[in-house]
Amino acid sequence: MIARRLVTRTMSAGAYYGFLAFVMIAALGPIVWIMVSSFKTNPQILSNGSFLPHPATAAGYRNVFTEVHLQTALVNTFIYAAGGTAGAVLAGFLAAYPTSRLTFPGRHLMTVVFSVALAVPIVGLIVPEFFIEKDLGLFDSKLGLILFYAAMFFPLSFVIQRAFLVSLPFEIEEAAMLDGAGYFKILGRVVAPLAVPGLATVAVLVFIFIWNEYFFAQLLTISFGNLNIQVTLAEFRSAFQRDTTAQLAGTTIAMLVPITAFLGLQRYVIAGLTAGSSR
Amino acid sequence: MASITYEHVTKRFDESPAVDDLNIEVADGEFLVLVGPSGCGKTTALRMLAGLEEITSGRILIGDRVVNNVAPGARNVAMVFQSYALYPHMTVYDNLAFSLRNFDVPKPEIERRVQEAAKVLELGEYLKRKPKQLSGGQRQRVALGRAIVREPSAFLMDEPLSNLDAALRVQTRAEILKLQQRLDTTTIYVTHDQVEAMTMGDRIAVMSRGVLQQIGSPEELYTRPANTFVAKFIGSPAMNLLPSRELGLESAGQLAGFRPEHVELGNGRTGSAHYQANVEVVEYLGDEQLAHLRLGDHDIVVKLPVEPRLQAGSQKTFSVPLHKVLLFDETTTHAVGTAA
Repeated sequence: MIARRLVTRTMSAGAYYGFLAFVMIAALGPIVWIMVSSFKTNPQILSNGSFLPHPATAAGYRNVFTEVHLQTALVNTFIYAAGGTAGAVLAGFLAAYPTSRLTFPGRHLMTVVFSVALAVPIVGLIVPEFFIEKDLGLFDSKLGLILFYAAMFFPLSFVIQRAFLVSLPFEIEEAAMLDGAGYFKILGRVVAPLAVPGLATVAVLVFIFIWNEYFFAQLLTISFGNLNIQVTLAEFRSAFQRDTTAQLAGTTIAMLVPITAFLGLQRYVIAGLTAGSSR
Repeated sequence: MASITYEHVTKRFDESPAVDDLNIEVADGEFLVLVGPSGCGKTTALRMLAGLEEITSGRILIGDRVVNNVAPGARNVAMVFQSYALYPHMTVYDNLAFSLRNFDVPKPEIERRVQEAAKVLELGEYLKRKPKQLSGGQRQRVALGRAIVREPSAFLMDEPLSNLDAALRVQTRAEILKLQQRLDTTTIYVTHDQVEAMTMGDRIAVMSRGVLQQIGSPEELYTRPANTFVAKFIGSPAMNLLPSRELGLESAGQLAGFRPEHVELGNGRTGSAHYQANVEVVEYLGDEQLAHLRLGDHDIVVKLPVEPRLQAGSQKTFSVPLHKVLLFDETTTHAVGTAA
């Protein structure tokens, strides 16, 4: 009886870990393949030969900067991601604080309206966004795309930061009030430092989303000087189809930035995403 | 320093009164304890004084100044919170200096006041630490320090000892008292612990369901409670209350109240009420014994010298001097005098 239970338990554990291993390989396999293959020559990639590059070459990385000028796209993407993130985080914080900490008429309605924006299908925004940007003279400009990203990720920023702020104790702010701090001083000197995990969570997520964003970048920018890295890589694929090595090198570079950002700040991200789940 | 006045102060949350027509005058330099069970409105009364809750009606004065519409920071009061509410991202020094910087106090003066508070509260070696690196008692002292550096008109303390263990609580209680006497600053101290109230307050205000039941010196509240609520709330073990006829008193419609320590074993002297009761449980406390008695349908607690030892299950005669028996109207619960 006990032996049978042991066998059943071992089999269940085996199936469980087997499933997890499969999911992990499915998730990480393509990423590892891209990184490794970016050091192969084009014939090596196409020949379906060994997994590891033999011999290894950095030609793809050289080509992606000399032929495609990926550095321009990298700088652009960084500007979009940093600007859009700053806008979304700041606007989200300024909206999340009063709706989570103050009492005023319309607070709940405001919270619902800001949050429900998350449910709007992105594709539905194509036409209005295009005309808004065009009418405001922001089409195909860096500022236009930054503002668009800040607005696009505002609801996500609002929802996460509000969940975090709700869990902060009120008494600290009350102590600051009695200590003579005004609204903005409380916000900047007391609440914001305590909300760092929430702010960091939003910042990392939004930065990564904007870094990887292709759809609206392709819709709202056309000149080479304004393209982001995703659009540049996609256009590069159609223009230089045969240089697969360079394409994989470009993809590797594009992946490294968000992966590094996430690994560096994952402690905050996990704290922020689980805010309010326990006391 | 300043006097504090509550004039017909009422606070309603969704139509139900949390504080109902509160009238209290606290003299300059006085230590007043607001005491009562959870939900009695004592913290709400304190928070209204601090400016953290709006007043539904009435007036609050600090000195001669009505502060109903004055912002919390402009009332010149300092509050010690139950949770201490220290700024976790700031050092102890910055916690102490935060309010002074907000009020644009010159740097040398900030330094002087912080160092002085640190010296008084023995926090000197912790000034560079963050609150999470301190023990509960040290955090509590930082919270006190944050209040005293302000040199405010009044200290408001909301159950500041409730997070400390029993030994530290007794020690800190004495430290707060010494500090208050030294600074001579008007203090309003909220607690649900009647021992704290009795030992600390110049006067005690007892509240129940938002209503002030009685205000007076600890002795006054103990010996002459205004009603059965105060009689039961002040004193540990609580005052015994039972219909007066159970003690053979000819006062219909009244409750007789007597303290456990006023009971004697035996028939007692002339002018005593006596009764027979079953001893149910005896708690031996070393220097005295607490006996839980059953008299008819009523439970009675008596505090007696340790000898002769009572045995559970026995039946004994007990007596209480009539001048120690307080009478309360059964309907209104108000005190009507003594049985003597």
